[in-house]
Amino acid sequence: MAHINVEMGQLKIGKYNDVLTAYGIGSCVVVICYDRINPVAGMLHGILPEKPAKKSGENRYINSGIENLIKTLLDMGVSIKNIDAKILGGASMFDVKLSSDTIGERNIKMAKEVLTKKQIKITGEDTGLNYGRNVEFFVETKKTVIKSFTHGLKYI
Amino acid sequence: MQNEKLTDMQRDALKELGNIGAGSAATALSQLLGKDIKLNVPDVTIIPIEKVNEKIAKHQQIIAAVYLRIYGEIQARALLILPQDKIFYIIDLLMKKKLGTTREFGENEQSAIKEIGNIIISSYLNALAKFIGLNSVPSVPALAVDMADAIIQTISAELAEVGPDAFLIENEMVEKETDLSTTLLILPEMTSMKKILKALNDTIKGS
Repeated sequence: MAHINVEMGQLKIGKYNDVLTAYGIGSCVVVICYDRINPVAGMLHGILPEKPAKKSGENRYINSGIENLIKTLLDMGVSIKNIDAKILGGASMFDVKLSSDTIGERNIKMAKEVLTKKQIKITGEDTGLNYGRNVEFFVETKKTVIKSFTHGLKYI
Repeated sequence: MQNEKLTDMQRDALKELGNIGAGSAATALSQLLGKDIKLNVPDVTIIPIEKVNEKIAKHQQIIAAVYLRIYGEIQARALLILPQDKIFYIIDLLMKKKLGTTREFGENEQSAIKEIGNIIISSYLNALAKFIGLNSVPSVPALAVDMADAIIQTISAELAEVGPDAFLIENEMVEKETDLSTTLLILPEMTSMKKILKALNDTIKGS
């Protein structure tokens, strides 16, 4: 078993009893796509909603990052109809909004849009609000543990 | 935008600027709290957005962070980081109460912490305006009390919308008696950094 840490702008794959983790998620959105039947999953830790043209670093962005995540799973032989998703994060950390819509809100919206377009079912979600999250995804059991300072533990 | 680099001379000039700003901010903090505040040499760096959390190195620590946007001739972001376990102590000092009086973090206490952020950043900006002649004003302060990396990640994301790198001026202010360490982060946008460097250059030449 390995703990695989997925940092900002990264995309990583886990198998069998691996645990995919992402820590200190504020406005970032973590998208987990997993095989409903076999023990294989990928985690994306996206920073911004949309990849601008001619920019590198595709896994920084939710839209291109999810494309990569799904493609990676398909290349590994996962069938598209077996993929489900969970999305986490996208908080608005501060009590006053210094811009009209926060990056967190835009990230969640984009993640949902892309997954819906790909007809991937979102089986679990812990998004928005105003607090930071630590996420652990257990590939074999497909369970997610969310830890936070203000809201304790949550399982989805 | 390609990755930016600073020359040694530019870095020294920015450090000096950081010193002037933070010197003024530390004086303000010292007056607010009635305590002697020492200032460490500021750290000036340009690093990829993804590395900002690593650089600040507070990770899962719980912090109180006052965040302000800066508008005007300098476009920047400022973050004042206070350790969560010293918040009540700071509020007692600020409100001139007997130490140990404050026990809850209600609306008044939150306003007090925000006001500290506001005063410190304003004095920082005033010092900069006097030194290099660039005028700017802070937004209303916003507050978060949470894991440091979640808070800093959120600001990094805002910067990522502008460019791949973050320009960081890190000032540490320390109160020895209670080992209270306050970090003031100033994150100018790259275009503003160029403006600052030019203004610095002109100031040095003119003096």
